[in-house]
This record gives sequence, C-alpha cells and structure tokens, in this order.
Amino acid sequence: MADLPTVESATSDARNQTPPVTAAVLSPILRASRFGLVIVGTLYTVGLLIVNTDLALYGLLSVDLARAEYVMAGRCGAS
Amino acid sequence: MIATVAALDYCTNSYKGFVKNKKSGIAILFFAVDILGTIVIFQFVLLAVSRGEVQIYDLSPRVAWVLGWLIVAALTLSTAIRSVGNLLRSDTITLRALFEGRSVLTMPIYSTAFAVAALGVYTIAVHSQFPREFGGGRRPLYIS
Repeated sequence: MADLPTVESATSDARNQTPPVTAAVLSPILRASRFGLVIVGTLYTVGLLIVNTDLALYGLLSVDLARAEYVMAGRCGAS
Repeated sequence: MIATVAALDYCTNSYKGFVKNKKSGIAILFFAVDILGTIVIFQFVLLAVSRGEVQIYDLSPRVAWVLGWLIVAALTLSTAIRSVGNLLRSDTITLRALFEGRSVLTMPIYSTAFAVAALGVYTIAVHSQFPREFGGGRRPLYIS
C-alpha cells in the first residue's frame, strides 16, 4: 500500500520548489506586449475616428469594427 | 501628427538649450546640425507618407494649407499630451484635477477636447491628401 503524503512532506516539497523561471524571463516580454497592445489600441481608436469622419464627408457610414485600415489610418495620423 | 509634435518639441528644446548656454563655435555647429537634421528627418517622413507631394519647401497653396493644419493639430496634441501627462503624474486623479491648469488651454479637459477637435480638422484637411496605400484617405484612380 502506498504511503499517503503527510502534511510535513507536502510543506517541505513546497519549500524546495525553485521559483518559476518563466515568470522572470517573460516579465519584460509581457510588459512589452502590454505596451504594444496599448499602442495598437490607440492607433486603432484614432484610425476609427479618422476613417469614419472621412467617410462621413461622403455621406457614408462604416460600422464594421474589424478593419485593419483603422490601424493603418492611425499610423498615418501618428506619423 | 506625432512626428510633427516630436520635431517641434525637439527643435524648441534645442533652441532653449542653445539660448541658455554659452555660444561657442561648437555649440552653434551642434545647434545647426540638430535643427537641420530634424528638418531633414521630418521632410523625409512627409515625403514617404505623401509620396513626394507634401514638402516643407513647397509653398503652393494646397501644400501650405496641409502643412498649416498639420502644425496646428500637432501643437494642440502637444498641449494635450503635456497637460494629461502632468495629470497622470499626480498621486491621485480627481475630477477637480481635470479643471486645474494655468490657463484654459492647459486644463486637461479642455486640452483633450481641443485635441479631439484638432483630430477632426486633421481628418478633413490632411488625411484626404495622403494616399490610401499608406492609410490616407485619397482613393486611388480606378480604370473603368
């Protein structure tokens, strides 16, 4: 019959565990990706406003949110 | 607009630094290189985005109109960035802080509203001059 893990062995195992390396390695990447998401989100929002205002001048309305053109227009506006 | 803001801010800071410090030959040289370099880079960005149609030294009414509104929009955006940046640097952000500033233009709420209005002006005056391939609003000519 297999020995059941005791409370002491469980706590010592938890103590001996090495800290997760991946979190330390991924931290700058995660921060960079978060920053990138904010940038792309800002470009998207600005592009959405620019493109829809431009289309409104021609009496058009675009309610399609999934358009890469918005990011392009935002980038053009940013530059 | 952000490239315009960056170029204007860099030139302004460079000029302020030049005025404050002693004017030696090297300082004058560095200042001239700074300004000229910024203008060249800005010109290159404009040329690339507009396919060579908008240039700083082109003083035709159409280009002057575009450049004028571009600079106005950039200045408005610069003011908004500064005022909102000051707001975000404070420990606590209150509703009252939105209305605090040395003048109406530097209040975060007004400067943000002006920046949004400037974005509309940019859309009408500048965006339509840039080709669609680069994210602008000018439609290409279709062969019927």
